[in-house]
Amino acid sequence: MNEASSTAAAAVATIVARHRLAWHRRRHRGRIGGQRGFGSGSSQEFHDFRDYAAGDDLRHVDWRGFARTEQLRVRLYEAEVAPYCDVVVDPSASMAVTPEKLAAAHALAAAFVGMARAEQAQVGLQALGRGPRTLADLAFDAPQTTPERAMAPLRAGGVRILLTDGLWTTGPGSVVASLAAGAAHFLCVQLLDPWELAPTVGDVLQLVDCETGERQERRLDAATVAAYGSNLHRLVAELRGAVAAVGGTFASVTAGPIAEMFARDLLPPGVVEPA
Amino acid sequence: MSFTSPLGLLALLAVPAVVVLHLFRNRLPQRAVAALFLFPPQALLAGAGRTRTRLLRTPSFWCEVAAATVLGLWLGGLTFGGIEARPLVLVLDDSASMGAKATHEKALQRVRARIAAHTGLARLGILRSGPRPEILLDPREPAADVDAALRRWQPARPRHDVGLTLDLARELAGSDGDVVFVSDETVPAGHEDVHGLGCGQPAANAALTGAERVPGVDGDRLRVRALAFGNVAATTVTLLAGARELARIPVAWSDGRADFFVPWPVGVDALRLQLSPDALALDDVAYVLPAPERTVAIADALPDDVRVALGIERVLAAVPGWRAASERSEAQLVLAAAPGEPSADQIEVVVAPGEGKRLAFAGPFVIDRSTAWCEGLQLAGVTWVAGELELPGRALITAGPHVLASEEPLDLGRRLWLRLDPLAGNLVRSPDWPVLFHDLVQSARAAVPGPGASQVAVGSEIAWRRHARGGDSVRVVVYAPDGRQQELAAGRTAGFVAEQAGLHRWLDGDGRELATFAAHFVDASESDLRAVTAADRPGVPRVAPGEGTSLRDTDIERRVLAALLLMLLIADWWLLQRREA
Repeated sequence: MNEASSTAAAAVATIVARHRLAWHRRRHRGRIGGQRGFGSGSSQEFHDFRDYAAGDDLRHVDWRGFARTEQLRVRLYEAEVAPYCDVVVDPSASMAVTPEKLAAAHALAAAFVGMARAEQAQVGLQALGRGPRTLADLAFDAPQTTPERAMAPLRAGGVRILLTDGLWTTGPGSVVASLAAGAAHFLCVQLLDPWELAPTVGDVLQLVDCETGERQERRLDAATVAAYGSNLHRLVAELRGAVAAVGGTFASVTAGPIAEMFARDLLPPGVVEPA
Repeated sequence: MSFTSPLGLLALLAVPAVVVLHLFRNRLPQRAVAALFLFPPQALLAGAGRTRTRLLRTPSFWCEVAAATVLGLWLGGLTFGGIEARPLVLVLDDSASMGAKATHEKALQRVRARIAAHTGLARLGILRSGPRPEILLDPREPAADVDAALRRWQPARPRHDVGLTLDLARELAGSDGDVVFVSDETVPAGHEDVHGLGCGQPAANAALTGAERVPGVDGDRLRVRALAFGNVAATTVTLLAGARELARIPVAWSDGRADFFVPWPVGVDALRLQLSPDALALDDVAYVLPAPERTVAIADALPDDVRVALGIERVLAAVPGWRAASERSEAQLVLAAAPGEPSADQIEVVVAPGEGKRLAFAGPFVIDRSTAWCEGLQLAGVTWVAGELELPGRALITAGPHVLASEEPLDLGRRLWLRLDPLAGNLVRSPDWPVLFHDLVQSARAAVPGPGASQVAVGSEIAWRRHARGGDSVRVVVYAPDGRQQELAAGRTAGFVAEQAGLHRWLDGDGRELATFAAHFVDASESDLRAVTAADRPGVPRVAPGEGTSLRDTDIERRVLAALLLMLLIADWWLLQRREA
């Protein structure tokens, strides 16, 4: 590990220690843990009664009720689970269009995985269209201009976090809906580079699309930049709308140091909260 | 050499195009962007950078010119004689009905004729159908021993889906090859491009479908079941013990079925049943072998007074199939007064009376019926006496809120807690006490090392269970009737799928026989040879007639050109990268 990457890892570790994912008010599925779960379990919170069935824990039989009615009924308690968390990353080459954006993508993925692990969640990391990955082998080099589907199954009742720049030529509705289907909560974090948000007016450049390799020469006058900004705004609005349609949480993040991204872009919309 | 394709000639225009591109180059600063499509269309820039440069005869330039030339040749279909080869892939139906003698001989004859008739055959593949398709002759390998491949085809499988094999054959044949399905059945729907080579020979046939030893009050009996498909001749069942013939019993068919009992021969443990020879030999044999001994080892670690009070000897005397284990580690069932460290396959029964004042429970008792340990327990009229003790785990028997028996979850093994004072109450004298021990011994029996059964149907899996302590990697080999051997995978329980009918042997790592089992072929749909088909079905050709018949594989030129093109492009890319760096 070189000095730069160890510094980045230390910054991520600091952020993970100070923040947590804002998922405490929701119900999850997963192993036994500390978060509210769907259905019944072994917490102290009384939930309901139901008829006894073979295999139920006899300790939960309502003996007072049995004495009155001679009907075996069991007390149900709320489940406490360690939620499932699937972090789904867009591996398209556009996520690595600048070194800053690439570093931010790696840092955010590591931070989400770290925060979920800190909550004892079962964490799965995968790249859209590629399948399971580890943080070490996460690469942003896919020539994807349209959204791909998740290759590995996503666990029902868990939290899903999508990290993408959302710069797709087709609408994000179907992929967002497929990612959010069956999830307890869906978070979408859109990562954009500062230059992508505000290109420098006046430059004359040969623009190279990092995914298709297509090259075009452009003079970035005010009108061109304004038209570009309008198109980008429409794209962001489409993604935001698709996330809202599935009841998810959306956050737009400008690539930068991890601490700045958290403070400026992730805390205000409630994606994370102070630990 | 032929070079008449207009496409190829047009592609050669790429050569001057490359020259022009190198003459007219713009040199603007580059910027990588994530979404070029977001930038609005714009007229091409004028005056940005140089519009014309001196032609630099760089290595990159020559690479691109050469690549354009090679592309033209590739698109033109450069050949040095001959046209495309046309592979043939034969799919041999491995279902048992193809093993009928007449059908098998006819199939081999027709296969050889089909191979000989295939004009311009360059590649030949032979596949055997099955749940997992098997390549008998790989079309990608140049040396082809057809006879050896056909000798390995001994059809004996139950009915199975041949779709997977046909799909694999199609892949091996490529876009222009022929796939031929050699069978006594029609080609399944969805494979219209596959040619069907009908080899069926309709015949009457009888099949043994079941044979078992049935215990009886007057002595054991042998139950035999058989089916007749068509008008079979007079049939007999011969009973054999080894090579010795014990009896020959005529079979009386009733509506094509026979189901009868005969006394089990005295002094014989294993029998082989043999039907009279008919069209299909595979379904004429059945074995009746003794069930594998699965004796549960019980380690008794109870203090003497507790053992007597619990009446352990009396109770176990009523339970069959157990033995006393001298070492606790060898046992599947352990009786103890205090918890120990059970191994993975052990059930530990801990009898603890509890502390302090004794409480007597006369019911009503609630019993968890989902566990096999409590099967058949009633506890009617039982007075259960115990002291105070908080039992861990899942409650199995309770009297109101008082847990009297529980199963404690363990990392290894299972533990049954009994909160019971054996010196008081009447549980140990009730009928439920031996029932409980019977249930425990039966549960423990599943963990006894050795084979899971002595008989299995062909195509089904039979399990071998290894000893819990250190036995996971003990070598066990299955020796099949044709002499093939297969070593079982490591692990506590390993399975073997019987693919051949007949006697199989379990051997240890040193070749010593551990046990035997018999695999029976039972599949009425394969035994019924009345409706087999002998008709051919031509497949819908995937290439136009006249294409593809050849004496030589001409793909070689295209492959060489493609490789050359790729190399030139890589070299150009590498040169450009180096220059930019």
